[in-house]
Amino acid sequence: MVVKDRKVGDAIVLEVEGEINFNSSPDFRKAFLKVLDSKAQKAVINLAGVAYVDSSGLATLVEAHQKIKSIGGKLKLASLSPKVKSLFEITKLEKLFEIYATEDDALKSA
Amino acid sequence: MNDTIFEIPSDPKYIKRASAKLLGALKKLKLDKETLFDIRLCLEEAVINAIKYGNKLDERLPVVISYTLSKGKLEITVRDQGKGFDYKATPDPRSDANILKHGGRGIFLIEHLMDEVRYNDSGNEIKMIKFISGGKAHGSKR
Repeated sequence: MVVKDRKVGDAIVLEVEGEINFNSSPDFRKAFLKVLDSKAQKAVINLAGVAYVDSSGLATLVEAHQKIKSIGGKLKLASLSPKVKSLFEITKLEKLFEIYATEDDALKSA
Repeated sequence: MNDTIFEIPSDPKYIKRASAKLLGALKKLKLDKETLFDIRLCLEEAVINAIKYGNKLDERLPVVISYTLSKGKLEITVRDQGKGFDYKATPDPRSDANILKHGGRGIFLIEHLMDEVRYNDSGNEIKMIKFISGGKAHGSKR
């Protein structure tokens, strides 16, 4: 898994390539903690390059959501594959996260 | 497909090797991507539970995996060397009380994506069943 971050306006976009699973979740957590260190109030995780997420990956995304919320920020998810999105639907995590069809949509949202 | 049984050590680096072996064996069935995703996810979740909670990451303890396909019924069994867990007491990870919790989604996903899930009496073996016909799974709860 590779995570690239870039600044777009007042937001940080994390672009993830690969899988967010039991073995790669610690690396994803590290990448996200770096975003929190930058004090960004808005983070967008672009999951277009992620074809596989397991329950550890979902748990790490929940942790990321809670951590940014605790500093008054917002986390948005963008470009989920239909299969990855279905995991959010099954587990009802869709009610916790703001999920957008594209990164642009996520960035334009308030 | 004949019964196949193999073991992996309780080391997370073997998780993908286990699922790759099963998916490789299923290749000739030309299953759709969604079905293969479900099978991989359920096997890996069961193996993670076996390594982490059953065998407590003790590399000396094996996780025993077996699979068989007969008359459109794929059966996958994962067994660890632990004392087992009370599968009847797994909380619903979708509830407001649990939605932020770290654990509990693995078993829930298995029970949702497989057609049948059974445990042995001691709770250290899970059997997952998926019905497959004509390259597609059917009877799924999706």
